[in-house]
Amino acid sequence: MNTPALEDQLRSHYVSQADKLYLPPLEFEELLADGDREVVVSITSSPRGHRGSWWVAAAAVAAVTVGGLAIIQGRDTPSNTPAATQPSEQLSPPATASTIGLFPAGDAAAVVAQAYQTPASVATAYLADRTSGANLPTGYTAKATTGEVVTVDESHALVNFNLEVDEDSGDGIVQVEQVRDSTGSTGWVVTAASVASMEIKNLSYIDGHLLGNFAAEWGTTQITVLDVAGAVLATRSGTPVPPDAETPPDQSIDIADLSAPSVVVRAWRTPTASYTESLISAGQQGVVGGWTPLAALAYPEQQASFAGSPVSALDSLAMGETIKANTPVDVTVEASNDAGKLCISASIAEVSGSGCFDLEMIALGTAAIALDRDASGRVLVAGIVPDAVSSISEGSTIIQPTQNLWFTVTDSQQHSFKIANSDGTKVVTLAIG
Amino acid sequence: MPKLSEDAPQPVAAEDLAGLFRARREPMARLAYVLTGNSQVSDEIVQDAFLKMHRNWEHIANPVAYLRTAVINGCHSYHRHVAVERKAPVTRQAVAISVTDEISDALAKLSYDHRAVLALRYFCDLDDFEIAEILNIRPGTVRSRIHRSLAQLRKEIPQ
Repeated sequence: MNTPALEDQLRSHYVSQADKLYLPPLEFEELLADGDREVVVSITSSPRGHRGSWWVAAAAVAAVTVGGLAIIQGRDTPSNTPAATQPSEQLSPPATASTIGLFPAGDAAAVVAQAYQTPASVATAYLADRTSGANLPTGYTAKATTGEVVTVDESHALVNFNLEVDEDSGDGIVQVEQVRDSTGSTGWVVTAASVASMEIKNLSYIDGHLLGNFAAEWGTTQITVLDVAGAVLATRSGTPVPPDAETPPDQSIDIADLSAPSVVVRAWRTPTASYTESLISAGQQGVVGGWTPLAALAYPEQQASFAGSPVSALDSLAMGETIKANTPVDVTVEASNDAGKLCISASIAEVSGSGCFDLEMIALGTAAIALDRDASGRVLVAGIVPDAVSSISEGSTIIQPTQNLWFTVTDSQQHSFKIANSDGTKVVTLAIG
Repeated sequence: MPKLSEDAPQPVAAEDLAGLFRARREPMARLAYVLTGNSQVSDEIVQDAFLKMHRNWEHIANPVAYLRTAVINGCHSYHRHVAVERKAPVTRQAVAISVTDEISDALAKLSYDHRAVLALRYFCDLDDFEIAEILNIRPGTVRSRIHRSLAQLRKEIPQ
C-alpha cells in the first residue's frame, strides 16, 4: 500500500486533531457581558480578584505541552554548560585552550579584546562578517538580520536571525558564550550558528581526517574547512540537487591531511538561504554540527529532562485505581483510559479539577496542574513526576514526591518550582502565573 | 466604544458580530487547537480575538483575516509565554491531552513559526500571499518555511 504524500498526511492529521476540540456553548452576548474580562494570553498574568475557579491548570499543562523558553529551562550542574550541549552526539567545547569559538577568533584574551559586550552585538558582527562578499560562495549574496536574544543561562545565549538571499530566506540561531580573561574582563564569542534544519552529521576529526555527511536537499552544498584563525584549509562542493528531487541519499565529506588542532566546518547551500558553521576538535567523533543541537537549546521543551526514568505509579496502578487520597487536601493520581497516561485529580474546598499527561510530558518533570484560590484564599498546585525526581522546591520549601505525586498549598498564584533529581545534576523550572 | 467620525465605517450591528461569532468561533478555535493542542486555551484565544475585534471594529476592513491574524498571534503568545487565565471552570475533557502520535511528535520539533505556516497551508488551505499577510512576512519566506518544514518532517516521519 502506498503511503499518502506527506502533505496529505498533514491535512488528515490536522483535521483529526481539530476534531478533538471541545468548545462549551457560549453566546457572544455572554462574552461581552463579562465586563472585567481581560486579554487572557499575556506575558504575565494580571492581578485578579478571587473568582473561585480554576485558573492555572492549562498554564501548567501548557508548560508541559508546549512550554516556551520562559517556562521551562533545563540545566545540568555543576557544569555551567547548558544541558542540551551535554549529550555526546553534539559538539562540545574545543579541546585546545587557545580556541574559544568561531568569532572573534582566538583565546579568551583575544575574545575579550574585541569587546563585544552583548550577545546581540557579537552575533550581529559575526553575521555581517559571514555574509560579506569574501566569505560567501561565488555569485551568492546574503543578508542577515538579528532578532530576539534568548538567555540560556548567565553565560550562554541564543540570538535568532533571519538570512535573506535572492529568492529565499531562512530563520536561524547563533549560539554565543561569555568568556572571561585572566584579568576578569569579559566578552562574548560565537560558538555555533545555523539556519533551520541545516547541519553536518556524523562529524569526526581523527588523525587529521575530517569525515561527515549532510542531507542532499535542493541546491548545492559548499563546504569550507578553515582553521580557527580563518585560513581556508580545504573546500568541497556537493552534487547539485534539483528542487523537485526525490530525497536523494546523503552526501559525504572526506578530507584528509589536516593538521590544525581544531577546524571550523562552514557550509552554505546555494541558491537557498542555508548556512551552518561549527567547530570540531581533534579526537571528536560522531557529533552533529548545526541545527539540531541549537534547536535543542532553543526549544528546551523538546528535551525530556528526565527521559528514561520510569513512572512507577503507572506500572502499579489498575485502571481507575487511586493511589493517594484523603490528604489534608484531596490529591489523587489514577491511570486513565488511554494507555500510557496518568491523570491527576485534585480538590481543595469547593474547587476541583484534573489534568492528564502522557509519559513524554511527565518525563519533562513539569507535568502539573494548579487551582485558583478557594474561599480561604488557598492555592493548590499538584504535579506528577518520574521516579528520578526526588524533590520539588521553591525557596525554602522542599516537597518530596510520594508515589510520583507532589502537591503544595500556598497563598500565591505565582510560582517558580525547581524540580530536581537526587544529586542535583538535573534541574528544571516550572513557572506558573 | 470610541465616538465615530462621520466618514468612519459604520459600526456593525450587534447581531452581525454575534452572527460572525457563531459562524467563526469554532473554525477559529479549530485552527488554534491544531497549534496549541488545548481546547480551553484555544477557546480563550478565540474569545480574545473576538473581544479585540469588538473593541476595534471600526478599523477592521476584513474581519475574517483579522480573526485569523489575532488567533495566530494569540497562539504565538501562548507558546512563548503561557500565562493563561480562564473564565470558565476546567473540565477533565477540556484539560486532557491526547497521547502524541508520529506526526504530532515531528511537528512539535518545529518552531512555532514553521508550524503556523504549515497549519495555515494544509489546514486552512491558504496560499502564500494570504499566509504572508497573516504572519507579516514575505511570500518567499512562506515558501521557504514550508519547504524547510516539510524537509524536516520527512526526516522525522518514515515515508
